[in-house]
Amino acid sequence: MRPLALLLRASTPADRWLMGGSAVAILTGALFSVTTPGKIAMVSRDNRPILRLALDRDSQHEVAGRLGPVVVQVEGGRVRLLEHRSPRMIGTRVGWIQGAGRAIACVPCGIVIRVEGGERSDGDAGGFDAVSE
Amino acid sequence: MIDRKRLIIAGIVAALFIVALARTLIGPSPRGIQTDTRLLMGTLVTISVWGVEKGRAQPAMNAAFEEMARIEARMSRFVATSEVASLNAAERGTWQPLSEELERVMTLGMEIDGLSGGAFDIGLGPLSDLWGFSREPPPETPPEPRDIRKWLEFRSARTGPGIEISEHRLRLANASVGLDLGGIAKGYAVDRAMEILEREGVAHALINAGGDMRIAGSKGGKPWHIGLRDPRQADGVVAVMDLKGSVAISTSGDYERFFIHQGVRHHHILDPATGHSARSGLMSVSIQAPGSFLADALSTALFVLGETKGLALLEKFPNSAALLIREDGSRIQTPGFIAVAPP
Repeated sequence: MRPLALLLRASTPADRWLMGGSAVAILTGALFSVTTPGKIAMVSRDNRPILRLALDRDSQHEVAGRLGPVVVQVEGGRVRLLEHRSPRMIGTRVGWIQGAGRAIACVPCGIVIRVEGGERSDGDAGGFDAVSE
Repeated sequence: MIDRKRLIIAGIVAALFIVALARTLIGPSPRGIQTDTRLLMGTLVTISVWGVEKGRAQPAMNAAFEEMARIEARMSRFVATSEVASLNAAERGTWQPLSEELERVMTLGMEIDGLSGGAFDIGLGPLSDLWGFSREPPPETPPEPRDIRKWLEFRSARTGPGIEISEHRLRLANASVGLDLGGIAKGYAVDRAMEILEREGVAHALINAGGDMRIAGSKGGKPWHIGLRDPRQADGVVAVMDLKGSVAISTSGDYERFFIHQGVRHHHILDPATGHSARSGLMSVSIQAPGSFLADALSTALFVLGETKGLALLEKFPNSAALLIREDGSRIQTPGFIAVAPP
């Protein structure tokens, strides 16, 4: 208790506000570095960003892929890709993603959706860091 | 006395403020994984780095992606301006200049070709074109049998090697030969990308180029947690690999690009001896090796050769190990292959 009493006695109210604010900022940063939900879905075509979607707002967007239009759907903090004319429909089969760092791709369409917004938590890709296939 | 205390308090306040400000400006803690992706070499490439400040991680990943894009621009036969496309377009039987980098990659590929008795062949471009597994939309029927017979006749008509390299020049024998570096270029690009990351000060990373991957270091002492896909269930895994240090993993399987015609599965791993999809009794071959180039080449070669001849080839590479999955689902795991059954 003595150091705290000393700290309070020797500091002004402005000092205390600044110390408190800084401590809160550091603690918040530490918490978010452990696990951060994705907040933005970045849609790119041929590696160029074309759309930036907030995951906290449900929406649906048609995007021009190389083979024709594809649909990017945001719902309940998740995002998915719906392909119309992709030959293998691999991107559609991935389903919903929401963790930061996760991605869906339709290679023939040239479309990639990537969830951004913070660090990825360990083993986010379906429990694995990667799958060899 | 109170002035000294106030000085200490001011120091504490300033330190806290600077730390909070630095966190805001620099970004997330360097403890976690940062990931980025690109479409490159006909697949989704993902790079994950661990323990690097955001300000350094993204430039390092960008540099690694740029290196892979550079290699694709040189070695893809589908890029009209690439060196490989230019060599493929040249008249057969004529010597063509060869860059130092492509010569190095091709020489290594031809060494494995020789050791595999021709099962691994980087000159199968025309046969790959016949089958068209890289086309969009993908094929649903095999080529005409007469076209495959014609290709085999051309191949057997060769009096010397299909590909010759001499004094930084290359010569392709006849119309049966065309460069297709699909079995090694991606592995080479992954190796180069990892070198770039290391040069940029990244010690812990995972590069995954559509299943061809390489890891470095760990995640703060924890291994990279890698799944091995079930050959017949796209969402399932048949093995779990927890790996640390420098390891490359590559898998070749009959499920990556395939179609079923009249009850027969035709896939993209072609056997130069028959002109058809390799039928070696295996569904997939996974290799763990010191580098991605080697892992990439060996997984293809072992798939074509099958169990007996493939494992004999593997013995020539003492730091490499394999997991083979037979068509009946049973497995062969060589000593040194780090994997356990999924929980």
